[in-house]
Amino acid sequence: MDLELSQEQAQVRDAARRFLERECSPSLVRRVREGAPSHPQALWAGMAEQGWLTLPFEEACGGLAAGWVTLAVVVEELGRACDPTPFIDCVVNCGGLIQDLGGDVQKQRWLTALTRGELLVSLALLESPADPNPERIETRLEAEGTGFRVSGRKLFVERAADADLLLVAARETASGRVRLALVAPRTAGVELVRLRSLAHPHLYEVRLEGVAIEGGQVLGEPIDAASALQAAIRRAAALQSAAAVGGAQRVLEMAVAHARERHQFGKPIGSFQAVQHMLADVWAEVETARLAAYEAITELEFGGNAVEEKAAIARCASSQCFVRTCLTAHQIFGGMGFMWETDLHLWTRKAKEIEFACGDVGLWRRRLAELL
Amino acid sequence: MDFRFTPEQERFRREIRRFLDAHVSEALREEIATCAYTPGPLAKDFLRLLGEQGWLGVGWPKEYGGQGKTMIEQMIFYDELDLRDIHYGGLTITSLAMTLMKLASEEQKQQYLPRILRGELEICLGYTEPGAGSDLASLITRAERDGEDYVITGQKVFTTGAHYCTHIWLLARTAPELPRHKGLSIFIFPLDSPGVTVRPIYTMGGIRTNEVFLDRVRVPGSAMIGAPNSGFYTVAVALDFERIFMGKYARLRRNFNELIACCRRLTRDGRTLWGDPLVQDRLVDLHIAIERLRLLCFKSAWMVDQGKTPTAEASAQKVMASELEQRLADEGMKILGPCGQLEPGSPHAPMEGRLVSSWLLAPMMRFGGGANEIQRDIIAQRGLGLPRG
Repeated sequence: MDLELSQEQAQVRDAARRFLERECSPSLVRRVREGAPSHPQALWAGMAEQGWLTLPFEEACGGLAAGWVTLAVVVEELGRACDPTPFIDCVVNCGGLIQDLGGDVQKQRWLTALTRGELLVSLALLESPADPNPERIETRLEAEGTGFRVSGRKLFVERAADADLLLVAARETASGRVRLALVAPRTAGVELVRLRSLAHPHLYEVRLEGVAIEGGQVLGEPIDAASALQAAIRRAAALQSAAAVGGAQRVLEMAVAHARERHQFGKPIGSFQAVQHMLADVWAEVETARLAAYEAITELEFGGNAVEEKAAIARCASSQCFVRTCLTAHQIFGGMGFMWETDLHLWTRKAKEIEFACGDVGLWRRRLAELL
Repeated sequence: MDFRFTPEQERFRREIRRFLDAHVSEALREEIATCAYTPGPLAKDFLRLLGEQGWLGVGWPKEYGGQGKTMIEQMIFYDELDLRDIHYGGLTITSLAMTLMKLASEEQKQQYLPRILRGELEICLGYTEPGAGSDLASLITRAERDGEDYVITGQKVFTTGAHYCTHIWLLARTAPELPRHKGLSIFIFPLDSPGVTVRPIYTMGGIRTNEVFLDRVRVPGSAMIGAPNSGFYTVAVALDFERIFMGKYARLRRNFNELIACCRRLTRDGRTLWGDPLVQDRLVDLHIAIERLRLLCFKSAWMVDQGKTPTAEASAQKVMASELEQRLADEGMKILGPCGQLEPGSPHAPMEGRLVSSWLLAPMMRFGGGANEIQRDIIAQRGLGLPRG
C-alpha cells in the first residue's frame, strides 16, 4: 500500500498549480462563463504547451502515455482552479475514443491536431432522456455512396459552437451497430440550440438533419463502438472524481481562510464550535472522496477488474462531496459568498457541472445498485 | 500510488483466517454473544492462545517480542477478529502497550510488556469521573506522595472491563497547585490492590461497565508511567493510538453485506425487499459511506507506518465509524420492517439480531472514547488550524 504521489507526480502537481494560478484566474473563469470569450484559447494553448493535451495518448500518436495517476493529478488541479476548459470532454473522452477506435490515418489526422490544441472536439452522445447507454442511441447513420448521412438529436453537447468537430454516436442503419462519426458543426443540416444551465455555461442541443459526411469521418473498422463508449464513460467517471476533489479542496481552503479572518462577537467565526464542526465534516468528506477517487484511478492504472465499481463509488462520493462543500462554504461566507462579484458561486456551479457531466451521478448511483 | 494489499499481506490474512477457523469454536462465539462483554472461561483461554501463538504482538517491534509487522497487518488482524465478533484484548495491545513502549522506563517495560504479550495481563482505562467526562482535566481523584509510595483516593466511572481486567491505567491529580491539566499523572496498578472496589453499571447496550472506588489505595512510585505531572500528555499519546482502532469498518461491512443478502431473500408486499427502489437508494448511500470509512482506516494505518501521526484522520475515522454504525443499524432495521426489532435469540430475528445489538451499542460509540464533538474540535483545530474557542 502506498497512498502518496511519486516524487515525479508531486512535481507535476506543483507545476500544474503554479501554471493555473498564473493562467486561470477566477476572473478568466468568470469571463468564459459570461461568454467573452466562450473558449479560453490562450489558456488552452498554454495547456498544450505544457504537454497536458498529450498526456493520455500512446507514444505512437505523439502522446506521453503518462499514466492515469499523472493525468488525474492534472485534472485535480484543473478542478481546483475551476477551469473553464473542455479538458475531460475533448482530450480524455473524444481523444481517448479516437485513439481507441480510429484507424492510423484518422489518429494521425485528428489526434495530432488535438494534442497541439488546434482541434476542439465535443462528444455528442446523450439523447433524450439523457441516457448514455449506447443501446438507446437512435441517431441514424445511413450509408450513401462512399459516405454517410447523419440524422438525430443530441443533448448536452459541450461547447458545440466552439468545437471544430462533434464526435457523434450514431446507429448504422444497415448493421444496427453504434459508430462514432466526426461531424463539423458548421455544416449544412446541423442546427445548434443553446441550453441554459445553472452549471455549464456552454451547453447545446445539436439537431442533425441528413448531414452528409465522408466515409473517412466515421471512426475505425465497422465494429460496434458500444463497449468502447462504456469504457470511456468509466474512465471519465474516475477523472471527474479527481476534478471534483480538487474543486472541493479549494473551496474548503477558502472557507477555512474566511472563518479565520471574519470576526463577529469580537472573535473569528472559525473559533465557534458550530462553524468548526461544519468544516470538520467537510474535511472528512474531502479526504475520503480523494481516497475513493485515487483508488478508482489506480485501479484503472493497474488494469484491475473492479474499475467499474471503484469508479462508481468515486463518482458518487466525490460529486456529492464537492456540492456539499460548496453549500457549507456558502453558509460560512454568508452574504459575502452570495454576491455575484465574489467567486464562490463559480465553484458551486462547477460542482453541479461535474455532477451532471457525461455519465451523471444519478446514473452511477443506479449502476452501483446493480453492482450490489 | 497503490491501494492494494501486498501479496505478503494477503498471505498474512489467509494465515490468520486459517488459525481462526481452527480455533474459534461455535461454543466460544456463543459465549461471547451472550456474555454482556464479560469474558467467560473460553474467551480467557482464547486470549491466552492468541498470546502463546504470537498473534497479540503482530504490530509490536521485535525487540519487545512482537512480530515487527506494519500497522496494516495489525489492522488486518483486528479486522479478522472483528468479523468473528471477538472484541477482547484490543485496547491493551493497540493503545496502552504502544504508549508504554514510548514513555515507560525500561524496568516498567520489562514488567508489563511480556505479560501483555502472553495475554495474561489486561488493563482497563481509569479516566472518566462523575464530574469529569469530556472535560477530563477537571478530574479530582488524587494521588498523594507518601514516602516512596503514592496513596490514591477518588472515584472513577464507566470503567469498562474493570471487573475482569487485571490492572487499571489511571489518571489522577498529583499536583493540585499546578494549572489543572499540568498536575495530572498516570499510574498502572493491579485491580486487586487493597482499597479498590469495583461495582457494576449495567447499560442499555448490553455492556456491563463499572464504577471504581479508590479508598487510600497504596501504590509504589514505580507505578507511575512517564514523568510526574505529565499525565495529560501520556493520555494524549494513548488516545492517538486508541482512536486509530476505535473507528473500524470490517464489522460494518459484514453487517451491510448480510443486510443485502437478507433483502434479496425476504419479501414484503409481493416483492423482495431489494426490489424496492427506495431500499436500493438507501443501501447505495450506506455502501458508499462504508467504502469511504474503509479507505480512511487504511490511510490512518498507512500514515503510522510512514512515521506520521494521523491526528485529524483518526478523529474523523472515529466520528464516521460511530455515526455510520448508528445509521446502518437504524436504516437496516427500518428496511427489514417489524422483524428488524427482534433481538439475538428471538424467533424470526433476521441477521441473528446483529443490527439490534449494533443499534443499542451505537449511542456509546458516539460519545465514548472522546465524544464526537471533541473529535470534531480536534479535526478543526489540529487538522484545519482553526482558533480555539
